[in-house]
Formats: sequence, structure tokens, C-alpha cells
Amino acid sequence: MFDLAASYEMFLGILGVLPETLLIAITILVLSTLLGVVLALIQQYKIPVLVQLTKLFKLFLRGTPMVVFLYLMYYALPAIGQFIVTLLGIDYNMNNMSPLVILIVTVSLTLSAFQSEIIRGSFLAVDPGQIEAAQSLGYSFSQTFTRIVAPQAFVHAIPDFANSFTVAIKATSLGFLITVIDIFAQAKIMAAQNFRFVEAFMMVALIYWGIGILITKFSDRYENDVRIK
Amino acid sequence: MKKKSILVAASVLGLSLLTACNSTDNKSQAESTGDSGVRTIKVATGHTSKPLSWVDENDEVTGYEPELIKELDKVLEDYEFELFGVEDSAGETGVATGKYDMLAGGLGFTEERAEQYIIPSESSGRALIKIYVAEDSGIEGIQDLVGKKISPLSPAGATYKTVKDWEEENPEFKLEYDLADVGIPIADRLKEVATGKYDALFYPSSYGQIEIIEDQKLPVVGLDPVKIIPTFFMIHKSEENEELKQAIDEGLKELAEAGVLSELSTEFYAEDVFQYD
Repeated sequence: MFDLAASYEMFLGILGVLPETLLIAITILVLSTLLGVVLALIQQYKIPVLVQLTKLFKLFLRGTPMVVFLYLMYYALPAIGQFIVTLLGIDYNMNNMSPLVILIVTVSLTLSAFQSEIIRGSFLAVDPGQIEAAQSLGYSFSQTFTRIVAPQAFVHAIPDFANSFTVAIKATSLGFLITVIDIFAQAKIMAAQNFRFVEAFMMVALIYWGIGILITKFSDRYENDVRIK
Repeated sequence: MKKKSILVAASVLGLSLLTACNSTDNKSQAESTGDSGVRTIKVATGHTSKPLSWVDENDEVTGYEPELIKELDKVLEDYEFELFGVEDSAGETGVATGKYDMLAGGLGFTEERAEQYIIPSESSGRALIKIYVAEDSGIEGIQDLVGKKISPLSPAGATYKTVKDWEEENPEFKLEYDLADVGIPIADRLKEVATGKYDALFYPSSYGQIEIIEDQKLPVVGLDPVKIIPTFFMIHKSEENEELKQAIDEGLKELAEAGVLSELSTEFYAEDVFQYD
């Protein structure tokens, strides 16, 4: 019942949308990391009011399954957007909001909660002696942060960032609910044409494994290169 | 000590999971070759496709297809049917691999399915693909949809195929639509038509649209079916299931003649889907 020729064809077909999937995942990773840094800094320096808001935001995001959040955003995001453009006096129908935007915003927000924890952890992992040494040498606050803390924290965060990247890749598969086509959606579309679901799912699993292995290998090697031995 | 007991607990759990996977397979084989003469058939059906098939508040599988299976159970003495509410693609995969013996998902006949499954000769129902439009849209048929916004289609299922076939037969009309997974509820899809986000929605009529439109007072109408598709149960391909196919055929014939199919249709779909034949 396993058709090799059909599988091969599917493998190629699914591979065709891989670049787009990776691009979406990279966008999500970058956006969630940026937001994560902001959240981590707020918590690190205990900025009043914002720190309570951040905690609430993270509590909400970490407790909401991504698919539930995506449903909510599918209805809420165009409505929020409409509210904002109406306030600004712009005549634009938010019903036309791209589903890709909705997907990227949803996953980036969710992932940012996790990213901020990773970033906070890696900041804390930097030896306090390093900061004291920098201060004794007359480094300013921003110099200490950009030249001493951030580069070392980044090395600590690499393996977790690689994890987050795989999470982002897998999360894009939820986008098919709202018409975004990633590798898993492509597998479903191809399977629906000849009803070979087992082959399609096997092939897409192979591709997920391949990407997972590549990301792990790459991040391991990169971490080894930049870590001071 | 504590570590040891955790290890033991974990391995027991792991083993029981492994044997659970195996035992279900063994059980169905044992039952199917049992001497009692009554064979238990595992039937997969949708779990959220009201009124086609869904799991109700008492965890019971019900709907047009499950109730039809229950009627078959009464008519066919040599068989007992056990229903499982599962995700659509899990059902199709499960029947292909033999995890389930039969799938009651309101599926139409295709060459590809005929290759993968045994398909009974008697159909179990009708899938009507209808176009839902706003009352004042002036859209009367599929040819009026050129240049209109069409609600996303699911690649699985007969709707997409119907639209694609129509496009192939009528290349002078070009329709524009996106593909999307099943997931956004039909009630919301209908609302999107009512609010004008989309101009038209292609959908099988078997998802309780008549009830939803009445309940929520949506200014949406369903046009006459663009396609009438007889639906069939899908049976796992194996030698012993040839007998099951014949039994199903006889049972369905009997129920159709007695008017049970039309009754179930009126009960669950608020219309007799056989009237368009």
C-alpha cells in the first residue's frame, strides 16, 4: 500500500514550499527574539508597571495553546486593526488583512514569552565578575551591555534559540487553518489529490527530521566556534 | 529507592503503552476470526462534523452516519459495529492501515479511493455541494462567481474537487479562491458571507446550515446543489472484508427501501437529500 513513486513526487512537491516555510519561521524567530529581549530587559531591570504587565502578558501567552490563540487572532486582529485605522482616519477595510500577517503575529507573540525566559536565563548566566571587571575598567552601562553581557549571553542562548527555531517551523503548520501554505499544508493538499495520506505524512515527517538535524548540527558547530574554550 | 520505583513505574507505563498498541490489533483479529459468528467492526467517523457525525455531551457518537451504522447493526445479525469519533484524516489513514475496519465519513467514490479501500455498491447518503450567498447578492449560480471573493476551500473532500472539475469543464470562467484546512466552523464561514468578507461559500450541505441560518437569522441563502454526490462507507481492503461489503450492501438496500435513509436525512439535515436524485 506504500507507493514509492507517489512518495518521491510528494517529497519534491513538499520541498518546493520549504523555502517559504523557512522564511516565515525566520521572520517569527527574529520578531519573537526582539520582543523577547524587550520583555527580558523589563523584567531584568524591574521597570515599574511594565514589569507587572509583562508578567501578565507572559502568563496569558504561556497558558494559551497556539491553535486557540490563532483562532482568537483570526477574529480579533482584523477587528483591532480596523479600530486603529478608523482612529487614525484611514479608509481601509481590514477584512483584507493577510492571513500570513495574522499567523506571524500570533506565533511571534506566543514564542516571545518563551524567548524572553531564554534570554533572561542567559543574561543571568553571565559571570557577575565580568560585569564588575568592566565597571572597574570604566565601561559605561551601555558599553558593558553591548560589549560584555550581550555577546556572552548570546552564546549561552544558542542551543535554546535553535530549539525555538524548530518550534517556529512546526508552528507554521497551524497557518493552514487560515490559508497559509507551509510544508505540512502542502503535504495535505497533495495527499488530498490522490488520497495517499500515509505517504504524504511520511514524506513531510522526513523533511521535518532533516531540518531538525541540520539545525541542531549547525547550532552545535556555531556554538563550539564562538564559545571561548 | 525512590529512583528505582520511578524507573519501574516508567517502564511499566512504557510497556503497557506498547502492548496497548499491539493488543488492539490482536483483539480485532481475534474478534474477526472468533467462533461466536458475530464479528465486531470498528467504524471510524468524524467527531466534530455535526450533523454528519459528532460526539455529543454524553461522549456518544451520533449524527446521520453513526445513526445509520446503528440501524445497520440492528439489520445485520452477523455483525456488531463499534463507533470511534476521530479526525477526518486520522480516519482515512486508519482505514488504509487497518486500524479501523470501516470509515463512515460521507465520502464520495473516486478511483483513488477504490484502489485503497473496498467501496460498497450501495451508497449510504448524498453529499450536496451548495453555494451559500448573501440574500441580496443576485448570485444565482456558479457562473456568477467570476471576480467574486470565494471563501477558502479545503483540499480534502469533494467540494474542492467539484469546483476544480467545473473549472476544467468551463475554462472560460476563472474562479479565484485560496485553500485552507478544515477548522474555521461553518457557522463562522456563513457569518463571513453575511458580513461581506466573502461573497460566496462552497460547502457540502450536510453541516446543519439550514439550522444555523435560521437560529442566527443570517441573511444567507443556499442555492440549488451544484453537485449531487452519492456517498459511501470505505472498508479496509482485505479478503475477509469482501463478505462485510456484501452484508453492508444488503443492509443499506433494505434500509433505503424501508425509507429509513430519508427519515435519518430529514432528522439530521432538515431536508431529504435523496429528493434531488
